[in-house]
Amino acid sequence: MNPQTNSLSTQDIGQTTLPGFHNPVFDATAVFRAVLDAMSHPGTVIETPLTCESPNKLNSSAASILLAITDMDTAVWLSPETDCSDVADYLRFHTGCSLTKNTSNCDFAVIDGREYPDLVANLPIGTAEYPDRSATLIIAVDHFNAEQKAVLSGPGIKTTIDLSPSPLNSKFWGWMKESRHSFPCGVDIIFASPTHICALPRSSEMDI
Amino acid sequence: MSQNTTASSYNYAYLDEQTKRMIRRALLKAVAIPGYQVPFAGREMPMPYGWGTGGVQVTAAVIGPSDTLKVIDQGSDDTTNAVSIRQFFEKTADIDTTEKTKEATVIQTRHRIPEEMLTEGQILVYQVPIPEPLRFLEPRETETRKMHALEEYGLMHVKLYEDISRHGHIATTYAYPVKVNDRYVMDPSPTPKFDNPKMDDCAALQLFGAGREKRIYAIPPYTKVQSLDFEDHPFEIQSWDQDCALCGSKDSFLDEVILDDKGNRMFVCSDSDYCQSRRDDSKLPPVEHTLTQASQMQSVNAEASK
Repeated sequence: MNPQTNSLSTQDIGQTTLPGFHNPVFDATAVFRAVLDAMSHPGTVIETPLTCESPNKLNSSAASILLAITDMDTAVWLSPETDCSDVADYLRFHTGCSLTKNTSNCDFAVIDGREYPDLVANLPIGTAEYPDRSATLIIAVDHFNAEQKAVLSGPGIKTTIDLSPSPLNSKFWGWMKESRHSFPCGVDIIFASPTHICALPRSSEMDI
Repeated sequence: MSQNTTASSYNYAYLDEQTKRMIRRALLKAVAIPGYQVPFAGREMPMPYGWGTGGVQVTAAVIGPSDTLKVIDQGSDDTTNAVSIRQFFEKTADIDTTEKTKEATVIQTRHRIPEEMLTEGQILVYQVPIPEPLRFLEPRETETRKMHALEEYGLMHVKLYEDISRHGHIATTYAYPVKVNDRYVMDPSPTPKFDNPKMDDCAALQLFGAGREKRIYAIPPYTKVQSLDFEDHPFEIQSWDQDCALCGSKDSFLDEVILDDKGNRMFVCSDSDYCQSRRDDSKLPPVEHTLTQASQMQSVNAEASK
């Protein structure tokens, strides 16, 4: 066995010069409430209550969500586009989360909207008896004014609402629509633009 | 222990941050799968099981300094459980509390839903003793889990049918099972069935916490919540012959109050804030006056009413 694995190196715990939450308790609560609000009102675009100084490849909203709800109990997968030592160190230092290369055993996955959904095809979706043992996918986007729209309905939505994150790889729409069929299993998605978030839980119905 | 010591010795809202994150992750899953019971690592709270440890943990994970908290027990803001939980969060979370339903952003409740219609942005946190609606029909968790997975709810309908064959009507009056979003059968906690219709298409977010059983579940806003019934025995809510003796309300849930040892009794709103605000609005005389009057005027008709 490599002797290095017996003691923690800076590579294990991460090292970053970027600050985390200004106030870890209240900032985490505020961000969680925004995420809870988003998850209970699918399709509604909600302002992220604060901005984080985050690494280049991770926008401020996505970073604040991860800081608020991940810790040493959760495994995070970073897509090729978001995976770099800056992001890895930042997350490891501030949250203590473990980073995994394997999508099939992560709790949170981060991907850029431009990337291929094939990358996240193997995310855990839970089982019929434990549908909660599934991953949450954070998709980084720029804004929510795309021309292509999906019409959402279902729990949390009074009538219908448009979902229009951009930029988004066109293959994502098909993947998201397809994954509706496995309810109650499935992956919950949080779209994160630098300033706003918007959620698509597995319970929403979707028309494209 | 002085308030100062309490406030500074614990983390904000009593729970440590890692516990809050664990509960928060469970809450997000619960909202995404309406009516499904998410297991969570329930902590021991400084109160016994059965006193709302599940609700308190959910509230502690959700609440922030800008919230206004209301706590009710059987509809009332003034009972022991409500007062102590309210004081708990005043001490540990330095939070504003209220008795007014419309002023509250977070309402923790035991066994009632406020009469006043809840609004968008409000969060209703229920204290739940036994989250599994099928538990008294099937004691094994492995089996009930399978029944939920397969959407196999025949047993629950048999139970309601047996009610009808024995009593002529569905005799379940509280913890009346509901189906959420046409998928999961859910226990609405021991609220009277009178409150079931309020859960349907509710504008507020409803969160349920069971501390001893370590389960969290949720109903997002505007979600279909249907009380189980039969075509020839449709779901009905309780009704009373009397109006509220204090505020005269005809459409609220009434509690029976024994007035003396001669069989006199009165029926009053169980929702204390609703009753009080109706009395304030209509400038009715104070409660004490009405109580004396009611006890003098009421004849011994106790046997007639149930």
